[in-house]
This record gives sequence, C-alpha cells and structure tokens, in this order.
Amino acid sequence: MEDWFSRKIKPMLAVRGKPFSSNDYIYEIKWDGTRSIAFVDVEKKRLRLQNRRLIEIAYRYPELDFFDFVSQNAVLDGEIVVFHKGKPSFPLLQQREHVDSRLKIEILSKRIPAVHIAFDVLYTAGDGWIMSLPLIERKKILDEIAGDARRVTKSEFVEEMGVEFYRKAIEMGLEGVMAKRKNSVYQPGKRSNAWVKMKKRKTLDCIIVGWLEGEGVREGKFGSLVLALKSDVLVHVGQVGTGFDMEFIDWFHEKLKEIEITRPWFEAEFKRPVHWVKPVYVCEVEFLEVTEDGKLRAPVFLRLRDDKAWDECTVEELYSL
Amino acid sequence: MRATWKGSVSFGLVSIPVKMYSATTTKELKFSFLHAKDGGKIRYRRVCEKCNAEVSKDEIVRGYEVSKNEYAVLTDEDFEKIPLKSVKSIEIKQFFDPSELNVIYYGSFYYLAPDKGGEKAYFLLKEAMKATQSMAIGKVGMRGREHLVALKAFDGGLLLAQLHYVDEVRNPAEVPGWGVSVDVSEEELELAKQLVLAMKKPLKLEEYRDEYKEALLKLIEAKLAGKEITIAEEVTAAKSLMDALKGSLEAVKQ
Repeated sequence: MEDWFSRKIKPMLAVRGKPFSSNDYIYEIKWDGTRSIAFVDVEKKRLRLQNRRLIEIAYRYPELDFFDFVSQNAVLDGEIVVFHKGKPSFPLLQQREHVDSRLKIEILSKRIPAVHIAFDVLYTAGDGWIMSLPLIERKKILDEIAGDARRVTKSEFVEEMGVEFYRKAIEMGLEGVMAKRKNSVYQPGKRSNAWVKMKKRKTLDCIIVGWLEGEGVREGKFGSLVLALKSDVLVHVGQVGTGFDMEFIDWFHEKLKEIEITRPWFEAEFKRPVHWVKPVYVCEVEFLEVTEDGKLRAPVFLRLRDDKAWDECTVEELYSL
Repeated sequence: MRATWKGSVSFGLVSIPVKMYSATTTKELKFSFLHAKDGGKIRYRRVCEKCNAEVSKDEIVRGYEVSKNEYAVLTDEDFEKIPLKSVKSIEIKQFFDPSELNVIYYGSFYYLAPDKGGEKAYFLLKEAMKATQSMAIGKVGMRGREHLVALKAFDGGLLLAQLHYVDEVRNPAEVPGWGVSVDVSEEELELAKQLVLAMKKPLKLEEYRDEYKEALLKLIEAKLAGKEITIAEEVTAAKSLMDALKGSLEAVKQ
C-alpha cells in the first residue's frame, strides 16, 4: 500500500460563476495566493508541501507551524497567503516564491512571513483517506483536528447567503468568494462545478511567449510581455506593459534572456522589436474585456504563477470568462 | 533543476536527444552596489567616450582591437557569415583513454540526461563507455563559441566537461622559478616525506567549508537583526477578515 505521506495529489479546481445563494452550498473567502496541499506528519515531525504542479515547496516556507496546527497526522488542502495591511498581497507573496538561497529564505520567512489557510482535509490518521466523504463532513473533521498555530489557520465558511457574502467580501476589497457544494466529494485534479469561484475582477492566466524592447527607463529591458493561450498552436491575446516594478523587471528580464528563441510563435505587428521565448512562465493579468478579435483590453500584470503549468492556459479559459 | 541546454549527442549514425544541467553552483555571496548616501542602486550606462552620448543597444557594433585604437569592426551580418556548426548537437569526434586527458584542460562540469525518446541510446552509450573505460571528445556550439567537450560515464549518468583548447592553457615554463632543480640530501628528502605521510589521511571534502563566507553571512544576519521589521501579518489578519465578514452578514440577517 502506498504511504500516505508520499502520495501526489493534484488539487481539485473550481469553475467560474456568478454570485448565487443556495442552501446546498457553503461559502468562503477565495484566498488568493499559492495553492498548496500539506502532508503533516506530527509524529515524525515531517512536512511536505506540494503545489498545483506537484512540486515540493516546503523548503520555501520554514515558518509555517503545521505541527502546532493539527493534533494528528493529516493531509490538508489550502492556500499560502501573505497578509499586508490586513489583506492578501500578491507582490509580497511573489517575493517569497522565487528565492532559492537558504539564507534568504530564512531572512524572508521572518520579514515577510506567509500563512497557510487550510480549507479542506483529505486524510487523517484516525479516518484514513476521506476524499469520498461529503465536503460538509470533511469540514467537521477539519474543525475537530485543527488547533491554534501562529501561521496556519482554517478557512471559516458561511451557509446559504452567497450573494450577500460575495457583496461584503468585495466591499472589503477581497478578490472574491468560493461556493462549494456541501455533499460534494474531493475530486483530485478535476475542474468540478461542485466548486464555483466568484470573482469581481476579470483575470486570466496567460503564457508569456515573448517580450518587446523597452524605452526610456526600461531601455535595455523589456517594455511589455507578449501573452498567449494554448490551442493547437499558441494564440496571441495581447501585450501587458504595466503592473510590474523596476525590481521585478530587472530580475525577470534576466530570466527571459535564458529562454530566448529565434523562431516566432506567430505573425503579429508590434510597435517595438520583439524577442520570443520558450513557453515556461505563466502570469496572471487583470483586464477590462476581451475585444472582438480575441485580445485582452487594458491588461495589467498581477503576478507570475509559479504553481501553474503553461499548457494549462488554454483558449477555453478565455471563452469561459 | 532547470536544463541549461537542450540538444543531442551524435556519433556515427546515432543521435541521442539530451538535456544539460549545470553540475556545480557557485555559492558565492553577491553584493549589489549602492549609493552610500541614499542607498540607491547603482546603474550602469553605456556612454560613448567620443561624443559623451548615451548609446542604445542597436547603435552598438563589436570592434576587435588590432593595435592601440585601431579596430576591425564586425557587424551582426558579419557574424552571420560564419555560422556556428553543431549548435544543437554535441558531435563526438573520437573516444579515448581517460588517463590521456590532463586535469589542466578541464573547465566547468555539466550533467547530461536523456531527453524524451533518448533513454535507450543514452543508456547504451553510457554502459559502452564504462565497459571499455573510454571517454568521448566532441564539439558543440554554444553562446557564440565553439566549445570542446568531453563525456564520461559518471555515477549513473553522463558527465560533460567543458575543455580548454590546447592553446588556451599557458605554458608553465614561462612562470619564473618553474622547474628548477636543487641539490638536496637524502636525509632532507626523508624528513620531508615523513612530514607529508604524517599529515596524510583519507580525504573528507565536506570537512572543508568556506569560513570566510560563513563569517560574512553572520555579519549580514547581525546587520539585519538590528532592524528586523516584519512587514507581513500572521493568522490574526486572516481571522479578523473572516470575523469581520461574518459579523457584517449577521447585520444583514437582522
């Protein structure tokens, strides 16, 4: 039998939807950070944190005190978030995501500590694997095993009042709300309509396939990033030229140079000289709308998404907006 | 680990798709230059010495200094006239006995791993080299240079060593004091040998650490300890958000 601790689990995913209220659903805050499944072995004091792409990321977050959080061995699904001024902060989370030096990780874990917000439990020492239990039962088990930790907490939920909950969450400046069907089982790797994300801002995860040379203060760096989505070929959806700070540009420009290629991905007219890159990086952008010719209007860069593979960014996502 | 290069190893009619990974990392501390007065990052500008104007990348050509202030200028088009051969492929030219390659020719090391579909041929090449105690030598074009490389079966895989060309290694005979021989007595030599043997023990490389770097790291940590400002909040932030939301819902209910 496979050891519970080393199992690889692709997180269950949600579909997009409009705010609704239903007695069959629970509602919780949509925490925007890095999705991570935690394998907590309180007996042997071992911890695994696995992201959406099944990559191990525990070494990046030594401050997460999971052993204080659960009273028995457990596998928890949740989100790693960095809070700043009372709200989740993408830019600060990003500073935690691209660090490999152990000393820097140590320093940043104290200066910019992250929090893991557990919203589901998939395994406990007492009950074994419980993914086939209804969500509402799993939430009860999470309540039972969760204690008090400094940097791990559980996501609270409300019942029935989805529309009101969504409105209040948006008023408070949050990204959105998740609706989850009470009797739904946990389906690893599935994008299931048992889970519905309701967001105010229009955002999309795009593949970075190139960059245009910058001008002025961005001379010698990139001015904007060329974005695409995957279909049979890569489909151009526009450029994003705002939303990054100079520090990010300096750092990311070097990364892009490492993956430069000569062959263009598609024909398009650009205002500045273009450099093409291999599809490696995924970024989340916010935008106003999709134009008739399938481009993003006024996109703003939000963050790189380390936890998403480029081939997950398909044109279907554009049409499902 | 991210591959630094993707291509193939070819010898005879066989071509093996491979990926290359750096075998070593430098754990050196990198410092940024800052303006002492206000801590601003120092940026470099490309300025023309003749007209003092700042120059953009597309205004720059490469010049080879033939003699003082006399340059042979090469444009991008010139470089394209001499295409680098074997850009995507490491062409094995011959196999040889490892003892024939002097350590002085070794440059940086990389691991070669099979890419999709290359597993079997890779395994065969590795095993054949191991069984015949052979290393391979080949060439590959990379970053605008034609590199000489050697392949060796190593700990379950193939190690690639970038080699120096013969003319890149300086002749030690040009070093003052090199190769002098002095008359020494039997006793003196015996004493020196005893000293060496007394200090000889099995090598444990992990016992040797960069102590200067460790001291520097401590210094950096001490500097930060004075001003360790935590800029992010902990779970209380998440909890108060959830409480506030729930609280406002209660208000709606009533």
